[in-house]
Amino acid sequence: MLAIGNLHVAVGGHEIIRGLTLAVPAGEVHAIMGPNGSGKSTLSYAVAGRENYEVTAGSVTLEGESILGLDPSARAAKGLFLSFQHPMEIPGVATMNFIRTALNAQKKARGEAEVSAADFLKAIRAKAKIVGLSDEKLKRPFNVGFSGGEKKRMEMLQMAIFEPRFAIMDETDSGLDIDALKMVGDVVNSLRGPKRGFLVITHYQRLLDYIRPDRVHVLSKGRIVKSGGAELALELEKSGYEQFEAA
Amino acid sequence: MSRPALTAMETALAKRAGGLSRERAKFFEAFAQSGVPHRRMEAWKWTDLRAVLRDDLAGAADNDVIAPSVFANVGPFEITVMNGVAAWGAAPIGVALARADAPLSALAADHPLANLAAAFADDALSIGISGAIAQPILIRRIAGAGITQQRAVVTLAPGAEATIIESFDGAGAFFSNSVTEYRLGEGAMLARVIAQNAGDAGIETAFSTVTLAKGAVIDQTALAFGGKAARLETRIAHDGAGAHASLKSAIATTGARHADVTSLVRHDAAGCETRQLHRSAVKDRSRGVFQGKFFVARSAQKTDALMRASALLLSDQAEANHKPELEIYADDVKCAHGSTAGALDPNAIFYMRQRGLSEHEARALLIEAFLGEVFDGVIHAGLEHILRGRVTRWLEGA
Repeated sequence: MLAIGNLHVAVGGHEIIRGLTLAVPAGEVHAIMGPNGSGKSTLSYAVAGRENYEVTAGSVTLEGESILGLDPSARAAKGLFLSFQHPMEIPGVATMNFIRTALNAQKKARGEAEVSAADFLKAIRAKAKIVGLSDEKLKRPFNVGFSGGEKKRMEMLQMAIFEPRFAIMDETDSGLDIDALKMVGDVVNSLRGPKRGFLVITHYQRLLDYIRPDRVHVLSKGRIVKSGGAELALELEKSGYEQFEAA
Repeated sequence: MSRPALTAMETALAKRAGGLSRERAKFFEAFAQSGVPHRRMEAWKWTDLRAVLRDDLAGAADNDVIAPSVFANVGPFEITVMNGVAAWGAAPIGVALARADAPLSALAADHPLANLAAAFADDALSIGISGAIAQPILIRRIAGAGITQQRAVVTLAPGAEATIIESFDGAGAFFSNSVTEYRLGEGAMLARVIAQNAGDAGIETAFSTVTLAKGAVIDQTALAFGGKAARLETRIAHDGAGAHASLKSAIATTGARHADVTSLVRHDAAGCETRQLHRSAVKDRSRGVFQGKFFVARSAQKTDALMRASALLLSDQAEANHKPELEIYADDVKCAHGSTAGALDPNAIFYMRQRGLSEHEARALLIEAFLGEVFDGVIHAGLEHILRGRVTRWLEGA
């Protein structure tokens, strides 16, 4: 579904991703683990199309179609969702208005009918309950005054609303307590299906107690240095990343 | 040989001044002392009116057709001032209109443009308001080609309440100058909305004063799209204890336009409160000027005054000039100001694009949010809606 081939990414002339190859078939959840500075966030930004993350070589395809030439919004419309490690606060922009505008922009780009205000309200209220965000929070400007945990809940709310074909979750677990981790697991597990893929980027194994990955990859210095099944995460938890640092 | 237009204009004005009444001739003399304001005057250093009034302006022409005002939706009582000539229908109960000259208030007496307007106004309007007027009053000023001078004195009796909209529109190359003086009696409440758009070639200077008696309240919201040059200037005086002033303004400019929002709030009585918020969003080569000053007299103890101004620079060539000022002689006061300037946050734009918005949509939403804070809490919900709509349309065109 998402296929990355020999990807090289430079930021400010500095090569961060150095020949990364990875394929996540539809229906699977893959985890990428790695130490700080291994290129996890760079990978997610490059795939999402952020400016100044220059792809110098390699390919990224979503369902066989290259997305590298596309604008970030076009990638979103194709069903790519990025859960940000540090979600933005957007003062003055009403939360529900923003999410609905974004959802309808995606639908419009795909040639689908836009969702009505009433249907949207119903959907977002139901999903907000699942991710643990109150009505009061939905009425605020987007993420303004939210705690780190609440911002992550807002990411999960959007993922649940957009129902992307492929989601990259960049350290969604950082700063979350056990209850919130369980919520993230619930949202991902409810969306898991034969036509959808996930790439879960994390430092720690603990999120993977709630989201059982089909494959685990170790990222070090911009390359995948080891891949294995779910048990690899447990192994890393014991042995640490040091063994890969020399690679 | 072509003569400098300014000289031509001043000569023409002086010639016309020969036919003025004695009272009006005094206004002209006061104007003539400084002439048209220019950049060597501190208060005009960023808005050099003399420089843009070089071009000669033909005499005023009546516009053939007047489209309904964008404020028609709130069902206002409309006073149409076309090229300086006022017309109105049946006024609501509690509103009295007349044409009358009067001396300028103390706040306006030293202002060259107030004197210019008072000297030459075709119709010097006097509007008296008593009781609570539910129907908004629209003073709709429309300028065609040429020079127009306008004047109005609005008096709110003690306890009176009114919503007054002042729109300043025009097309073509014009110079429209006005002075509007508000006098609020004890406990009176005025919601004032100002919307200005002079087009690319028009020059608009709108000067106003507001005197607040004990416990009087003004809530002012202004939206300026600028012009070849445009200045909305407000002087407020807290004359009575416990008065309250809220001043909110937004500048949104594109192209080579220039908009200036200038204010002076005098605190002369004890226990008065002022809240001021200004936002400028400037694109292309346009320029936004904000000058805000709080003056606190020795007698004005327990003054509580706060000013915030910020500018959003939307291109490398756009310019925002902000000058917040405090002049305080009382020792037991709470006064503060803050001013910031910056560009749109690229992180926020990328976030929004990742969610599916185009770059243009993301930027528009952020600009709308930035300016939108000015319209939060406009007393009349219908007016808030219209002002926000004007910003949205501006963004679509920009």
